[in-house]
Amino acid sequence: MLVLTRKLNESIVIGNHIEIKVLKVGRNLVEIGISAPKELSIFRQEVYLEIQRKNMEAIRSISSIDLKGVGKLVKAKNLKKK
Amino acid sequence: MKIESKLLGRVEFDESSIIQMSEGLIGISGQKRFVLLEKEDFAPFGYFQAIDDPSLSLVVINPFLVEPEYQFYLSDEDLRTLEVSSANDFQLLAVVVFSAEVADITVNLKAPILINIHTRKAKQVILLNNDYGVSEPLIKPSTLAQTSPGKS
Repeated sequence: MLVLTRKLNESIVIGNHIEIKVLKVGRNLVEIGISAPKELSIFRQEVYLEIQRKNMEAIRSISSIDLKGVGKLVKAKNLKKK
Repeated sequence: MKIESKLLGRVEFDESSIIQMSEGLIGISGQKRFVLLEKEDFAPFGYFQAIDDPSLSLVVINPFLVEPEYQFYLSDEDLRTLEVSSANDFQLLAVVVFSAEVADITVNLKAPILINIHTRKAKQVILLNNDYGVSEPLIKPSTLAQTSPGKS
């Protein structure tokens, strides 16, 4: 990993279109501003990890299933709404 | 084509129905080819089965059945990658975490699988809007009480 030291309000530039700026430095928190083309998705890493964990859980969970029973419940619920 | 699914045993499907996920599922990037297996038996659920790994399968459901007012904002990058330009181009599937207790079954409405129905390319996308979490109840507790077959 490339490690750079930056002061408040200093930036780093990645490629031609991405700028990352240090906006605020607190004791345990750093506020970061990102300017990037809008087609790029930017997410906190926790979001990815959470989704990964759910995917793993979903794979493990299918040993415990009664799909038919639950399927009927879901159908009943949606019919009620109409 | 035939595969041996851990859950369903031997399954046959048409090669044209193969779903290509060039990035794999989020955090599980090894498998890129999947097939969606649907049967009247377990509708409205489907099995999202990895073609090259029989032990890798997930249960999925149309998110609109869980949340009729489902709102999803997708990034330009995702739409472009999948060549999706209109609502007629795609299908969404939400990943389900099962449990023996119906009330504990959850659905990931934050990161559905987006499939281009023409090209069969797909990606697990992360919605830009923050309306939903990764563990939404399949059936809201209030509804469950009304529709449960009952323990009378």
